[in-house]
Amino acid sequence: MDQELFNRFVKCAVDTLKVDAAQVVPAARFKEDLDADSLDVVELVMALEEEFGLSENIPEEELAEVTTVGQAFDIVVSKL
Amino acid sequence: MQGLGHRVAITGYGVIAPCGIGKEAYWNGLLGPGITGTRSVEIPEWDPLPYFESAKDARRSDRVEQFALAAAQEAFQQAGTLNVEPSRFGTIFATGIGGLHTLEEQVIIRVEKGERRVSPFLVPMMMANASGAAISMRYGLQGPNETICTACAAGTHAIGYAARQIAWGRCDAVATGGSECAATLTSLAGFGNMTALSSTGSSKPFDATRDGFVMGEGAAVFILERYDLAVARGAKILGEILGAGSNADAHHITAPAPGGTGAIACMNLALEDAGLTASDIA
Repeated sequence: MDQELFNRFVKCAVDTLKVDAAQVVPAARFKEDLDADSLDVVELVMALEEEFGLSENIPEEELAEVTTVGQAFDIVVSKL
Repeated sequence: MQGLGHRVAITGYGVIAPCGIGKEAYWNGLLGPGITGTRSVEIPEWDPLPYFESAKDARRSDRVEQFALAAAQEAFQQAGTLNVEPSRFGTIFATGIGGLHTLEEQVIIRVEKGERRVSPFLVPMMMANASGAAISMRYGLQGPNETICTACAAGTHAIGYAARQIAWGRCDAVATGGSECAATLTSLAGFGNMTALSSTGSSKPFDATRDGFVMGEGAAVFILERYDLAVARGAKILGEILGAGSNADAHHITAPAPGGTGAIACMNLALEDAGLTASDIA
């Protein structure tokens, strides 16, 4: 895992979800561990798309499958 | 009040305004020097966090909803514990516009960054009924939850309609009032261009030398309760709503009918509803 990329991911999560950076680990589940509902995840993904300058938006179908920080991070990395 | 004969008591109220947060500070603020030389006034250094469980929840609420929840907190604290079934506790709330700051911010984001950057929280934050929905959810009020949206008259209309819910026997208690936070740059430009803002920058309704209004912001919430139930639980009765009236002069979108005929008719409706005559009003 690229730590520099993950640090930028963590910063987005802290800003949008208002959680502590220490909570944002790959195994953290959005709903159970970070108290983030589906709209929170949409907002986080928008922030990630902007932070990483993704030219291609992450489609809703892919988002629906995402339950953990690690999964979301992998999707972002795959679009870079 | 016409209905099934239930009297309507006020057992709690709360207020948030630029001149003071909470009814004591607000009253002292009203007695203060007043406002001059400005076209809008905001609550200084507003901090929503004391009224929310988390910073995230606060950020999901437009400022208009934050005000409503803050005023509701003071009102419910004063009212104490009501012996009312949740399904018979209503929320009849009011706003002139709703979450206009959020809408304006998101319009700018869409224009500058595109549709993909528009917040998924835009709709629940801008909708006029967001404040009433928030009060209902926070206090578990499962009676009618409706929002009255009638410009400057919205809050008064809501209180009258809320009281009617009790008089009619539909509700045993209702949280009512209004919230507003709409002095955005675009809105101020609109009010200014329609020549509604005070040219001297002071708001003095009913004064012979009035020359327009100053845009403010804030919220007020009242807890209305069936009079006999309030007495039975030993609540302090702060006031009673005896009657209300509502009509239209069907004249012009902003100007009142000449001679104030619509307002006079409305006041007579309220007096009739209360079973009073004009001479009964001190």
